[in-house]
Amino acid sequence: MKLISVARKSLIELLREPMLLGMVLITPLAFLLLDGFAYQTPHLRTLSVLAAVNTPAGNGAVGYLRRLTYPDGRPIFKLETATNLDTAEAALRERTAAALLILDPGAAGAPLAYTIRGDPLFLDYLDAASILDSRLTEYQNDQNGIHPPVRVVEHPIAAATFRTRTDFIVYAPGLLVFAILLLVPQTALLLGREIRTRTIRRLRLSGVSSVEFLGGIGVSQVVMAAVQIVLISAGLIAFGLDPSRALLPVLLASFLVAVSAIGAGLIVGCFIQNDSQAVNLGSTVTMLQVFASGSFFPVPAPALFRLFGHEIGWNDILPATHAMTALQQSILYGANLGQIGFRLGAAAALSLIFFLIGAFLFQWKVMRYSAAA
Amino acid sequence: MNETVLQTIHLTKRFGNVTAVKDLSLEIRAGEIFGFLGPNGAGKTTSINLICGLMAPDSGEVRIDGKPVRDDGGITRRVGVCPQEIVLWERLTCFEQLEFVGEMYGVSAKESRRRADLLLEEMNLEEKRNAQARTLSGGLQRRLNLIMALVHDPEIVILDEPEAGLDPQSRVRVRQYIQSLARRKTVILTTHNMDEADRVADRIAIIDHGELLRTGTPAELKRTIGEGDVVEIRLAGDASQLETALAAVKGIDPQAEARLEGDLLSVRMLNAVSRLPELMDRIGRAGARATEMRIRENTLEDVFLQLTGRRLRE
Repeated sequence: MKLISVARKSLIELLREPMLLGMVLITPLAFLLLDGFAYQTPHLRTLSVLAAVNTPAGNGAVGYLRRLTYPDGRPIFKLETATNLDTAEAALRERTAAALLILDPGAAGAPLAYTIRGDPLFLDYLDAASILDSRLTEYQNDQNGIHPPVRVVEHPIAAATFRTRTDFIVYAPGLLVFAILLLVPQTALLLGREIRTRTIRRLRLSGVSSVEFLGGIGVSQVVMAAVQIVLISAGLIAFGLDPSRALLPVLLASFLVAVSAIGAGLIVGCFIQNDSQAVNLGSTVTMLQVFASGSFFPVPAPALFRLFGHEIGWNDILPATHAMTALQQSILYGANLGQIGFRLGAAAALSLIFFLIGAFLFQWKVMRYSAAA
Repeated sequence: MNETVLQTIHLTKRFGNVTAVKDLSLEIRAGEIFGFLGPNGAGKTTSINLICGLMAPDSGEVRIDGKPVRDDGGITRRVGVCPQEIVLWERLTCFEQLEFVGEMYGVSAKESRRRADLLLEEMNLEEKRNAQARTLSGGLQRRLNLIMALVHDPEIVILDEPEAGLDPQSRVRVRQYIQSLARRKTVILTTHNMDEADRVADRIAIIDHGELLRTGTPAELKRTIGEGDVVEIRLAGDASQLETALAAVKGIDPQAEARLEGDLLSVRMLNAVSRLPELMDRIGRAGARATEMRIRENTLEDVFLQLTGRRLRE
């Protein structure tokens, strides 16, 4: 009952503090909206290419490239003729064009020679150059009657989800993990406030146990996390997540990230004395977890050993890493619960360990009889 | 009234090289109001923290009803503590605070709510029942701070400087309330206000530099420094004239005690009023002149001055 009383009290405090409530509920939604609109372009998008044709044979190649389409019928290239090379170079620098294709007469009987120019730091150029090179080679072979001894067929593993995939969905797992990990500073903040205002002393005197107190704080944060996850999931669906394939794994993995974040917040709460320390240290822990779990970009984590057939790296000590992997598997590749069972189990076990470490440290550093008053 | 409810036995607490509480041994009786009197930094709050179990002593122990206070027996739940600083949940209402603390002490939700309303009424806070703590004035926050110690109906109530920072109206209300607790509960209060201690406490422990100097009822303590009234005379004259006046006054009565602090001459003696003419005559013959005079009874301030050589406010 004490646990429920603590949870109710914490929720009342949260609901009466719009800034704190906003940090947890509005901030992730703001990220979601920004990223959602910014990356709403399809993952396989039409690439803008300028073509400088210096040989009649080039017109055929340009026509061939214009007819190329993705499986859903969208053209791969938007090809425009470059009449002035200086203007074309400027377009490359401004990234209004992905690549400049220069088609010249070929040497030694070949009908065509081609040059591809562009900025290697621009992702669209890399995509365009790769496709142009392979397709022009294929075109030349056809023109020359050459049939390669080996035929390469590409079959993407996420082909089934290609139609609905956008860049946003690619970034969605990391965004989700980051948003939920904002619970770390918030949980720490609740503890920091109890320490700053010395209300923790009242609780110590009452004989409430660490498990009851932290459990209550945890339950209040789980309620907040549930609201947060529902909002974020609704946003993900609005921006292209297929709920029939991935919703349940997403909800489960998100919940586990939330539990681990609350545990981490409790641990942070053992090392702070006030609100600002809670926010600073909590945010640092959040960002470290976000980066270490590979939520923003892949992190090199050589396998240290294998467990149940899975390679375990240094960052697998974090529940967020497993949850991130589970989210990627389910959102990007439509993995079901059975396929991500190991990751969910590992995230659950590690989250529980985080929570227990937090409870133990809090008892030892703050709540015990001989702790500094 | 004579039953010992709380004992401190050779209680010592150090912080680095500073001994905050030194070998403190006390017996506090059921139903009495026991005051810790001492200047700021005397070790009163540390003593309170040790007594209520917020802090572990380096040596010695605290016993409540003969059982040692530790965090494993729930004994401290029989104690209610009002800390010196205001300790409230800023965004909970007065009622919610009391209800929550009651529940934390294991009181049922229904009983917590009943006691919350009762205490709010007793402390004239019923109109602020649904106001968040952060919206209350300092005086009202202090009143709420006080009744937070009582919501679980403890047998022993510890009040750390309960009148500190109170406006006159709230001070009167709080003092009345503390006195109303007498006999129903054992009350331990700390104060550096001798007037508060004198008016409210049944017995007083005078503490300084972490050390217990003397214990007794206010009357007993005042008697320890002698019978009679105190005459305070502000003098005009040069230093040698003031010293001569001091020596002359001391010669009036072998039982008289005289002290000169700056230009203030304090004389304690029996029948002070009837001997005033002689006193003034001796001062005049010493070449000094009285510019201001008052006669008062012994106070606890005098006791503290006698014991430590300095005033409580210093």
